[in-house]
Amino acid sequence: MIQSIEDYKYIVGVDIGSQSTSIGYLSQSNLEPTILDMSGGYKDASIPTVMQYSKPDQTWLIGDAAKSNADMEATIYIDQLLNCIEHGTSVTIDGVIFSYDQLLVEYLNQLLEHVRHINPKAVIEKVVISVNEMAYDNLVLKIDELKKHIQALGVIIIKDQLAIGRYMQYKSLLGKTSVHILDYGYSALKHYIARYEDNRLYIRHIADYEALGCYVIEQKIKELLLDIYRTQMHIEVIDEISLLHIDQMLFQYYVWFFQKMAEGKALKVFYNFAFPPFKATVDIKQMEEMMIHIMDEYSKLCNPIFESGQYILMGNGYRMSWTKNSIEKKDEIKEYTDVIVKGAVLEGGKDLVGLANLEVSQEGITQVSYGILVKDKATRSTTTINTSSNKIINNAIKTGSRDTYKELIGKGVAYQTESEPIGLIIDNQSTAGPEHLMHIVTYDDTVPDEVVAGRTTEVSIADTVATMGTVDNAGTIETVVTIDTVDTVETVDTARTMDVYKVIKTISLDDYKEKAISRISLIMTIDEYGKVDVRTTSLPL
Amino acid sequence: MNWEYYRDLIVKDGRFEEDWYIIGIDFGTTNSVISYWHKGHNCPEPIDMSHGFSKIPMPSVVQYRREGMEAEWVVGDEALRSMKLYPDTTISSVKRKMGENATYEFGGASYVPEVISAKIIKHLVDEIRHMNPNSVVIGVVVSVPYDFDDAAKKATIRACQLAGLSDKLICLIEEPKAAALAYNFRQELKKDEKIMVFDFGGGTLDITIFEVVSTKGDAISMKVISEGGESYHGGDNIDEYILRLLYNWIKDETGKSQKDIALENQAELMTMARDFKERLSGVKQIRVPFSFIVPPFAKKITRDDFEELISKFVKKTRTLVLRALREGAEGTIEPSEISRILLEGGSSSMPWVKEMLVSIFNNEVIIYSSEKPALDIAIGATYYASMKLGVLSHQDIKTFGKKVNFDVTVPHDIGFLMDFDKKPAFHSMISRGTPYSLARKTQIFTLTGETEEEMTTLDITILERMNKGDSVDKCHLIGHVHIKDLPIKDLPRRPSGKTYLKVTLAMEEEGGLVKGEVEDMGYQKAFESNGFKVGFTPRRHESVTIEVE
Repeated sequence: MIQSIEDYKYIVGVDIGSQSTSIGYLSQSNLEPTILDMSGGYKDASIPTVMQYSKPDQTWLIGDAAKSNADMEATIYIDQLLNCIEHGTSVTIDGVIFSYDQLLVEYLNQLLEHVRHINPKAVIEKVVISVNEMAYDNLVLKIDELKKHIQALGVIIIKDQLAIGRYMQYKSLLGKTSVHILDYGYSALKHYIARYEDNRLYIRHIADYEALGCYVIEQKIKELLLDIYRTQMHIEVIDEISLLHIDQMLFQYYVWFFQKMAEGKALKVFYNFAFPPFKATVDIKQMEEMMIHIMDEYSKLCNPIFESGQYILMGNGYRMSWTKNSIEKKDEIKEYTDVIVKGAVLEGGKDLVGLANLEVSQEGITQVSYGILVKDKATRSTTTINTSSNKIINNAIKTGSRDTYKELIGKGVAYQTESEPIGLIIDNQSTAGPEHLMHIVTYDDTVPDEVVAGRTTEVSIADTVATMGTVDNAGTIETVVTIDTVDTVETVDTARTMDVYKVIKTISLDDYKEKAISRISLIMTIDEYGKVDVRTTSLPL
Repeated sequence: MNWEYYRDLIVKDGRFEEDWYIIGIDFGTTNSVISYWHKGHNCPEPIDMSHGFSKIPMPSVVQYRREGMEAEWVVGDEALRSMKLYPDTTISSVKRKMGENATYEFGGASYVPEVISAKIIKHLVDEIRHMNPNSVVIGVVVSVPYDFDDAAKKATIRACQLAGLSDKLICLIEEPKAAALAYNFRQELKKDEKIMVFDFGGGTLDITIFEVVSTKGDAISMKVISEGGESYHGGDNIDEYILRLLYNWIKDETGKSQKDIALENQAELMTMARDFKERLSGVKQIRVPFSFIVPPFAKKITRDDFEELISKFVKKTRTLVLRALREGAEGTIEPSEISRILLEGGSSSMPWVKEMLVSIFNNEVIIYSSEKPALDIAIGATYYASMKLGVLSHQDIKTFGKKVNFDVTVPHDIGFLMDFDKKPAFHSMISRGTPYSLARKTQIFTLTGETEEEMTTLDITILERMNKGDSVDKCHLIGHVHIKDLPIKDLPRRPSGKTYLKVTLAMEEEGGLVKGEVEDMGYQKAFESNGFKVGFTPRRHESVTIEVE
C-alpha cells in the first residue's frame, strides 16, 4: 500500500561517482524518485566529486565552486574524493588529518544544503549513499561516524548494484528474461546482464570496454584541438598556458562536437585566447572519420543487444545521440538517466513506495588482479617504449596521477622517469578478456626527461616490477625478492576496472635485514572468498 | 485554426494527436528556454538544446557573420562563445529593446529588435521540428515581464509571427504568473497564503505578490495583490558594475582606458564580468587573470568586496521589495503576512539576495529557492498553454496540482492624451491595479469641425503611465489611432459638436494587450446612431488608420 510523506520530510539518495555526484529525493507529491538539479536547470544536475580546502578561511568548498577556484593560492584541491574513499586514505592539511569519512561528511553536508535551499523547512529523514563495491567496504567500517556527523536522521550505505536493482524493480523490469545493462561511463562502456531468479537479482559483470570509454573520446577531441592549434600557429610544441586554454576549451567542445554531429553540421572552433584569435572549421566528414573506429566497435557490441530488445542504457556516455542511432524504435529506448541515484532514493523509500524485499548478487566477479609491489631505491631496470605523442606522455607524467593511466590506455607504453619510486606496471589490453592489465601507479609528481614522439626510447624505471598475475577468483602468486636495497614490499590488488591499487599488506623486511638475509620468497594466496594470505620465507644465497 | 478549434477537438472529441505540440517559451534577456507538453510524462518537458548534454537554456544571443560573399546568422551558445571574434555584429539582451524604436545596422541592412528576437524564437521552435518533422504546433505561450509595456508585448507577438508561428495560436503570459504556475504543480499551495515571486533575471526584476483566494474543487484561484520591480534592474546591470571595476583595474595597471582596448578584448571582458559574478556566488574569493594585457596580471577580489561594489544596487533592490509591499492593490502588506517567497531567475542565487530578503522579512524559512529557476518560466508557460487547450481536463491526463485561475491586475495606468485648455494631459481610463477581467472603460468624444473631413475624423493618442505622478511626456506611447471617413449618418445635417463617439479601451485578459473599439452613439435624441462600430489595435511605431466605408 502506498503511503504518503509530509511535504517537509525528505528521503534523499546520493550517487557518488568518480567524476560526478548526483542527489535525488522522493517526491512528496507523487512518491517518485526525483533528481535535484543542483545547477537550477542551467546545466548538469550533478556536481563534480571534488573538494577544496581554503587555508585562510579554513573552510571547504565542493563541486563546481571548488573546481572553478582550483587555481587559488593557499588551497588544497582533492580531485578524487571517491578514490580516497576506495583506498581509505586521508589528507593532512597543516598538521590536521582529514580521514576519508570526514571528507565525505563535509561533502555530503554541503550537498544536503541544496535540499534546504529548495525547502528551508526540510528535515532529512534518511540519506542513502550508493557507491561502488570498493568504496562500500571502507564506508561500512565508518558507518557510526557517518551517522553521527551527517546532518540527516538516518544514514544508509548501499552498493551500486542494489541501487540498480531497486530501480529495475520500480520500473517492473524484474522479469523472467535477462536484461542487458550498458553503462556508458568515463572510463569504459560496461556491460552487465541482470537476471531475476528465486527472488534474487543476479547482476553479472560481463566486460569493460575501455577503448570505448568517454575518456578515450575526450582525448580524441583534445588531440583534434591541439592539432588545429599547432597547424594554425605553425608550431610543434604548445606552451603551457595555451595548453591550459585548450583544456578549458575541451569542456565546451566535447559537447558541441556531438551537438553538431547530431545536427549534421560543421563544427566551428574558436581559439579566442590565441593572438590573433582565429577560428577553424571541422566538417561533418572529419568528425565521422574521427569517430568511425569507436562507432564500429560500439555497433558490433551493441547492435545484437539492441535487437534483443531487453536492455537498459545508463551513464553520461548515452548523452551522445549517435549511440542510439542504431536503435530503430526510439520511443522504446529503455534509457534511464540517473539510475543509481534514483535507485538509492527508492531504497530509502521502499516501504512508502511499496517495494518488496530485494536481494542482489554480483555474479562473475570483476576480475581482480593481485600483485606485489617492490619499492627499490637502488635497482634500475630498463624497458623500451614507443611513444605516440610527446605531449601526452609529458602531461601524463607531470600529473603523476590518475591521468597517467588514462593517457596511456591503449597505447601499450610504459613511461620514462629517472625519479623514484614509480610503481607497478602491468600490460594493458583494451578489449575484453582475462588478459593482464597495464597500469602505472605513481607516487610523486616529478617531471621526467622529455620523451620524443615517434621514437623508441630507453626508459629507466626506479622501481622493480614484481611478478604479476591475474586471478579470477582464487590463486597463488609467487615471487622472489632480493631485499638488499629494497625499501618496502607491498601486496596489492586492483579490480580490472580500476586504475588504482589497494594495498593489502605491507611486508616488513626489518627482521630479514637484521639477519642479513638477502633473498626471500614471497607467496601470495587468494582464496575463493577473496581472502589474501601472504607468506615470506628466507632463501639461501 | 485557433486555440478554440484545438480545444474543442481535445475537450469534446477527446483527441490529442501524436504530432500535436503545445509549447511554452521563456524568452529571456540572457537565456531562453522552450518547453513542450510531454504526453508520455503528462507534464512539461524543457527541450535540451544541446542534444543530450543537459544545457537546456540557450543564450539569447544572435550573431551576424559575413565572410566574403557568405553571410550567416548564428544563434545561441556558439554566438555567445564567438562574441570576441564578431564584437560588432553580436547582439545580446535584445529583449531590453523590444517595443523601442531601435535598430541594429549591419550587412547593409537595418533590423528592428523583433526581427532579431524572431531569430531566437525560430531557433527554439526549430527544435520541435528536429524532434518530430511532422510536428504541428497547436498553441504557444510566450513569457513577458510583468511590466512590459504594451509596445513591447506587441513586438513580442510580432517576433513570434516572424518566427513562423500563427498569430491565432500565440498567447503571452506574465513571467511571475508562469513561475507561480510551475510552483503550483510542484508544491501544493494553501488558501489565504500570500506568496511573493521574486524573479530576478538578467534584465529585469519582477516582484509579484499573489494571494491564494480559493482552493475548491479541481482549481485554485490566485489574485495578484501587488506588483513591483523594475525593467532595467537585473544581473546584466551587476555585470556593468563589474565591467567598470575591470576597466579601472586595467587603467591602474597599464594606464589604458576602454577606448584603448581592442573590441575583441572588450567582448572578453564582458564574459569575464559574468563569470566573475557567477563564481562569487559559490566562493568567497576569486582570482581574476588579465591574460590578454601585456604584461599579464591578475587581481584578487573577495565576496565582501564585490557586495560593497554593488551596495547601491542592493539598496535599490531592497527599496523595490519594500515598495511592492507598501503599494499593494488593497493597501500595505506587512512582511509578516507573506508566507512564502519564491526565488526565481538565475540572478536570485547570489548570496546577498537571500540576506537582503531576510533583513526585511526576518525569517529565513519562508525563502524557497526554485528547484529549476532556469526552467520554471517555460514550464509554467507550457502549463498555461495546456490549461488553455483543456489538456488538463483530458481523460488520460493525470497531473498533480490543481488548475489555476489567475486574477491578474493591470500593471500601469492606461489612458488618453487630452488637450485641456491647450495643455496636454494624461487622462486615465484604466487604473493600475484593476483586474484584467474588469479592465474595460469607455470615453465619449464629441466630434467637432467645420468641414466634412474634420467632422468625420477622430485622432486619439493612447498612453501608458508607468508610475503615478509621471508627467505626460514621461508616459509611454501605446499608439496613435486615426479614424477617418466615419460614416456619420445625416451629415451635413449633424452640426459640429453633435456627434458622440464612444471609444472603449480594454486589456486582453491573456497577455494584457491594449485593444480598443470606436462606436457611433449618434447625438442624444436628435440624431440616431448609425450602428457603426470598429475595433482597433494601437501600435507604437505605426499610426493605426481606420478607414471606415
